[in-house]
Amino acid sequence: MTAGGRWRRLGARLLRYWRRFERGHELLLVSRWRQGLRKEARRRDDTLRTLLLLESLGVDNPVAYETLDAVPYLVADFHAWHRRMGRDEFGDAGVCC
Amino acid sequence: MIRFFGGKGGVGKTTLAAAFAVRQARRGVRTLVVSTDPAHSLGDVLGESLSDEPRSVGESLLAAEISGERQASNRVAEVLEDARHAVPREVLPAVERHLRRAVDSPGTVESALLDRLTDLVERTGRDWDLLVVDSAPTGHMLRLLSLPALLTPWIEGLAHNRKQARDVDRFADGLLGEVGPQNDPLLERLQNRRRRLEALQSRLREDARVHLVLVPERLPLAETERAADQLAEAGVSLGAVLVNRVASGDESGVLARRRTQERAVLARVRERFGGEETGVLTVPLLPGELTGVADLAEASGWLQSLDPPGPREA
Repeated sequence: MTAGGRWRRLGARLLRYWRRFERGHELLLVSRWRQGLRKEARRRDDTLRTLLLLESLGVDNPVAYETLDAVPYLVADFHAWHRRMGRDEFGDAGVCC
Repeated sequence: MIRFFGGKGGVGKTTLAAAFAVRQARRGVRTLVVSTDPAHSLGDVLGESLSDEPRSVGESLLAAEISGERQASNRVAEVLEDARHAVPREVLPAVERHLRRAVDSPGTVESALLDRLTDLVERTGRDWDLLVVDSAPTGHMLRLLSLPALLTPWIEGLAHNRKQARDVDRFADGLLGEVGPQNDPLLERLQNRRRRLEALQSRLREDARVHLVLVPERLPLAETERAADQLAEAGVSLGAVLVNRVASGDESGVLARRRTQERAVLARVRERFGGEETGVLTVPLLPGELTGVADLAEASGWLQSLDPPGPREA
């Protein structure tokens, strides 16, 4: 076997190890971190949804008019959410469908 | 150029706003006079029936009466039409219900009125050169003028919140290598609203003057002084203060007695507003009511000192 071939094989092996390490790292740490991040994003979205649909909760919303064109997207977001959760219909026509 | 005429109910702002608009139009300034008072009387003063869309009532002169309710329902129809293409069909009824509820929120009518006024402000300098606003009684006008400052930070906050949520999301995606350019229609719309309000606010600060109108009596005076303070706070400049229906001084009986009170009020008005660049303008008590463009044009000589540089001089 030539010296060049040995190096290539060693290189391929190291790469495999690296990939395996990366997968483990991903499983152990990154995915958890990502979950945390996603949760943070959801929390912020929930806050926004609440603020924009305040009047549905019976609270006055001072900017209701200014945010009218955001409403369809919020309801669509919500629709996507309850379907992800496995409910084709939300069951309250006042909120979604 | 934008001029607001504001003051307590019944002091004659509509007549003065209309007379001013007629005068400017006769000088060759393309003018739109618009009423924002829910109880419109501009049409009655001009002797024309007016609607939401400006219509010609004379040479270089347009007039309209705008309403918050109407604008709100137009906007709901618009948003619904957009939604038809953007969101799943099955949620449309819910979208419509949410929109109707939002429109019933207190403050919506005012916001909608401001929205309609923003359209007209944006067209000023293009479709007409002077916008004369006959506004509702003082409190209403003040609220209208301070709305942009109230709403902007709120929308800013909402947009910021949404942007951070999207950024966090995208960062999480990036860890998996699933990054792609994402447009967030919701964020875009929030930011459009914010930009529109900010543009209005700076336009009102740079380009608008408010003429406070009062009659020489104690209660309107108190309200005028408060309004001047609040306008200064909102960053809107004052134009000349107009004292309407000042008696000429050669009356007898009841009018003569009132004349003493009037003098005291006038002295106070001059003390407060006379020194500044704004100035005070007194308009005499006229023998009859003014109706129609011709009447108004005749009487509008009293408003000469309010003239902005006209197209012939500029």
